[in-house]
Amino acid sequence: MRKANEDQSQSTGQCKPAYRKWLLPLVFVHLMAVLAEPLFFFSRSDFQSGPEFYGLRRWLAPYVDWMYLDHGYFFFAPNPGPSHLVALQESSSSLTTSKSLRSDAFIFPDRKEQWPRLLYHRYFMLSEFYNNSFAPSRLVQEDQSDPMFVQRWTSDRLFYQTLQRSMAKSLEASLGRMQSLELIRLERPLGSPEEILQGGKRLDDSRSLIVLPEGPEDSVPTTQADQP
Amino acid sequence: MTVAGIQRLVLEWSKEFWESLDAFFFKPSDSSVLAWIRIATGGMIAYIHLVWLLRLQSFFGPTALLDHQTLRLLHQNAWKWTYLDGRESLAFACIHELAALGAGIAMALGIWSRWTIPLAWFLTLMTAHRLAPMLFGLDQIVLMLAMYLSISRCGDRWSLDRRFGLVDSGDAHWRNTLATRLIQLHLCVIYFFGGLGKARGWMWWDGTAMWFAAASFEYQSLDLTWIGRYPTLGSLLTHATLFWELAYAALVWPRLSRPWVLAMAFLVHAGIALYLGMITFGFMMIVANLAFIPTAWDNKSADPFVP
Repeated sequence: MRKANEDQSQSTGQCKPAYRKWLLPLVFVHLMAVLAEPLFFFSRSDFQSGPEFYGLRRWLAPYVDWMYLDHGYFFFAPNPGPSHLVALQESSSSLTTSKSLRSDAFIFPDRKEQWPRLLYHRYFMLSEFYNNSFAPSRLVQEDQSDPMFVQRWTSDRLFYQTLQRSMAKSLEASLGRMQSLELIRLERPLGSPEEILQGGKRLDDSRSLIVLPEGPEDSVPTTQADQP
Repeated sequence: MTVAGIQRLVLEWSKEFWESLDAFFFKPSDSSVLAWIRIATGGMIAYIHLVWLLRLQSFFGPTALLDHQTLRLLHQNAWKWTYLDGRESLAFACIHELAALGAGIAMALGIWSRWTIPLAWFLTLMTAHRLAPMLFGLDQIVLMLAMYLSISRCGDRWSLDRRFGLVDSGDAHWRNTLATRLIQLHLCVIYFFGGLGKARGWMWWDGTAMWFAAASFEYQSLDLTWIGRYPTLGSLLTHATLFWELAYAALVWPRLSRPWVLAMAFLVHAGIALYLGMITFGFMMIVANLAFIPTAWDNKSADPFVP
């Protein structure tokens, strides 16, 4: 009788009752995994993460991470922000002014150089990642007294430098340049309607590119680049 | 009401709830809409790997932008195992990417679907862990769709498998329902948290987000800065996007509101595709929303793959 029921389930595309008992809890766990990262992500503050969401995320970490479910779904959020680019050029001792960005610098992302659009977007995401990974070359005085902060900065700085070396080495090889090259972080601020529509400023005006400092933010004044 | 009465009420409610849940996930359904999603997702997977192949040396092998040491530090606290760990040879990476491209094409055409769909998902996942910093929404949505399509019987329709009699008749199956429901629920999570994220930003409230998205040169594909001349329109579109995204998870289920929610999804993602330079992402989000379209629209007699 049971065999007959199972055969019937197969022929009509029904799920066997025995399977359903197992599948529903699995579906539930999977959906928890889908929710785990955004719940954890949204519950984070300077003080703590929601303990229950932290626990859920931690418990499901192997599944969430490996299945590529670790997303907060922050699309154009919380606000559309400035874009970040990366310039590559021969090493120089100082980067304190805009003039240190030379005209022969290789800048990415670049639509003319990276085509099709998806390839360009890969480089764009990398330049944003590089900027997000930034850890300053030294800490300001007040931060040095916090051991937790120093520990975090040490590991962030190690990663940033490793990433920097890796990218520089790869770009040197692909551009065929033999000199020692350095990476410079650039920011393109978003213009207001007055600047763009009434002032006639172009969106791609490279004069608006800001060279971001490698030191603490208060150590080097950010200035505009005058590269064409 | 007596205690026995309450007990009976709870039992009846539990039984009804269980039956509804059971039907929601397991009532057999047709695979035609999933087949369309499979074709689009397979094609996109093939395209994604084709693009990785264009700059193979920059993405894989000894001169990759992200070397082994960088990857090791990046993933040191995450479960992101991949055999493409930065120590792979260029030849191996090339074979991997060609295999993924082939699996994507096979998935789109519906060749040995029950094997090629999970294979395409797995190979793409391996690449995703290798190149995580270069990924964006497109990769999230493609991997999500491929994962759920792997458990469906979407190869039973609009496929070469069907044409050559390698699959059954293409009748309704519970695996199609389960895959469809998981896509739908996952989409609801994406939109809900996408909306919540935007709700944290002041630009989405003062109505300037549309302008500042349009004013980003790096995203721009078609010029949308004209919207700055019509601040009320820009603000209206900003708020419509915010509230639509927040409400999607609730309003996409009732039949009455579903067409409007899906129409808005089409407009928002077509806008992203055309104006914000993410044609691949916009297209795949529209494809994912097909999961909410009932299968009844599809005319089975129009399937040219049915022998």
